[in-house]
Amino acid sequence: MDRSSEVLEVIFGCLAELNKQLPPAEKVVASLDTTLIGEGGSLDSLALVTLIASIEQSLSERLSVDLPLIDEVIGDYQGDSSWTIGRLQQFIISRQTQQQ
Amino acid sequence: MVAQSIFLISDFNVEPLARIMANLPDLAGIRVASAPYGQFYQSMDMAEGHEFSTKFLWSRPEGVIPSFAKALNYEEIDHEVVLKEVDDLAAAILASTDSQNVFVASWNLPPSQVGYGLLDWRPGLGLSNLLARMNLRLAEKLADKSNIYMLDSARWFADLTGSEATTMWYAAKVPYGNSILQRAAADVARALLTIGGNSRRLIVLDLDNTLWGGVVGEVTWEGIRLGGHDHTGEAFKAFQKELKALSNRGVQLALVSKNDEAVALEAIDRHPEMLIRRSDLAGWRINWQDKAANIAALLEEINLGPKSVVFIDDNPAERDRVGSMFPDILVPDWPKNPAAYVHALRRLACFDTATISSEDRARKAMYVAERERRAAREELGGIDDWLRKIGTRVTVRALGSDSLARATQLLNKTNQLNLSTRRLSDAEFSKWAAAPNRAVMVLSAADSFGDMGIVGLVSIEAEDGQGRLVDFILSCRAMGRRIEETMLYLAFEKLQQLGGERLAVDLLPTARNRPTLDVLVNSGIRRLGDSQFEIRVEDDYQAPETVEIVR
Repeated sequence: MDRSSEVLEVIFGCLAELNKQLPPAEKVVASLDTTLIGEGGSLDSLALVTLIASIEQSLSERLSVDLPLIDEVIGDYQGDSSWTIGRLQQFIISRQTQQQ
Repeated sequence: MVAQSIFLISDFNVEPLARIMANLPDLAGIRVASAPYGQFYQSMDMAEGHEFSTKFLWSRPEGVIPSFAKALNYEEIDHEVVLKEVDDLAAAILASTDSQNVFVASWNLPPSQVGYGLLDWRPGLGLSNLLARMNLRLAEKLADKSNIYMLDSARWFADLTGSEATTMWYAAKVPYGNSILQRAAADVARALLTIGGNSRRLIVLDLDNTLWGGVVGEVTWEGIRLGGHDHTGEAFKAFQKELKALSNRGVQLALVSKNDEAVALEAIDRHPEMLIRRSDLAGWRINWQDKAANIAALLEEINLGPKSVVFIDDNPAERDRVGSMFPDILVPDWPKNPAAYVHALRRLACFDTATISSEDRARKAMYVAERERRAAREELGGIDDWLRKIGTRVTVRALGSDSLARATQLLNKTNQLNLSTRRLSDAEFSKWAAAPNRAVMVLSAADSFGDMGIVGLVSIEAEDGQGRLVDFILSCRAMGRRIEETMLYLAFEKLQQLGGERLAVDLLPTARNRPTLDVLVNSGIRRLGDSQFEIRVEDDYQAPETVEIVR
């Protein structure tokens, strides 16, 4: 499995866990086009923090990738552009590449 | 109604747990809400919290016991001071608890907290030692109220994965990962269902390759694998041991097996390593008929509904047949490997009860006696001749602290012979019964086959010469022996003692209490409408001659 697929597997795994907290109508679809933050996003702040924090922890535990995602994804968000799952995946891969 | 809503109170952000619980299928229809973050003590007394039937308190020890927070910083702390703060917390919980059920999670330290290491269990010093004493102290202090239950949170932390969510703690004040929260949610749900009287009371078992290894019809009782120097035989024996332990808690065992009955019973009677003997069984159907039909007949004989039953069979086709015929029977997937049977049984986690009474512990003997009664009844024919022969005695007592737990159990678990099907906690029922215009009687029954323990509950309330039968409840195992008419007689007799002249008997029909209507219709009391009955002084209603009343 290449790194891109591994990262996506982590994101989808965390999303599946988050969905256990969400009512049926609000469950988030596991798709690269799904918006997490910004226009069209459906997560409230607690759900969003839960998801990003669990992705951060899972990346560290499963892929040994340590990224401060909460700061970089949520903390720096200015409302300028949306974060989709696909954008988050690419962001993680690029930041990891920079670290190497 | 018990267990319809739950209010979560914590010193951390417990909202994720509320969300998980709200999505659990087992809790569908149950309202779940959480108190504001960081207001543990304040939330216990919040008016909003009292609107819920159950409260769940989950705290970090350092979040609610200030001296423990200091101990966690390795400051020198007198452990007695810490325990005094535990006493204060217990007092606050008791003071804020009325008739609600309260679940309190025991305290744990995160696995990464090793405390004083080698010295951590040393009395007066170690954090592990101190926390164990704190948990014991809290449990002892809270034991005064029967509607407060402590949940063992150590099970939620049983493996290290996800036990500490450090980022979530810093970002959202949620100290635990999803896996911990999900285990906690499942445990709280299980506790709620237990309080609601949804526990299973009968395990129906297959024989070949379920209770022992091999097919007894082919290898005879001497050839089955059970115990001995054989790892598979030992696994089956361990499974029987686990079943027998459950029966000591009041869970009944029965057999439904496609076998020659004489051959199977010979194995049960003669195999030296067999732990489940005839005397452990509430009943059996061993023949070549359809298992679903056999279970239907068995449940009618034992007088239990499908919701009380678990069916265990190694054969997936039989499981599918029974599961499709009885959606309310719990039919777990069963492992192929006998070594996994004990664990599979423990994982079912559906046998908990909110109380364990002496009747529960004695239930096995009661069901065995019941099976023998049925045999005697079939031999003798007429009901009154049979009742005279077995010498039915009903002992009547006023509700007391010694009978409260069993009385509440009857109130909350009896469906078939139950006039009003109201559900109350121990505390609620005790408070209700204390009013001077009310009387609650508990009835024990016995006969020549044995003592059935407390099987009935009658309560009335009287006002201005008018009385009302509020509770008229009889355990299904005691039905059909004129105890029902005896209870009506006792209710009216008690009403007269309270100065009443007319007893109204209004049935609140449910999907399951049709037998109550049949009893009332056949009891000889006046019928006023579809579900309305009464007894008047001039009716001179008498107790049945075939039942001896002991006071």
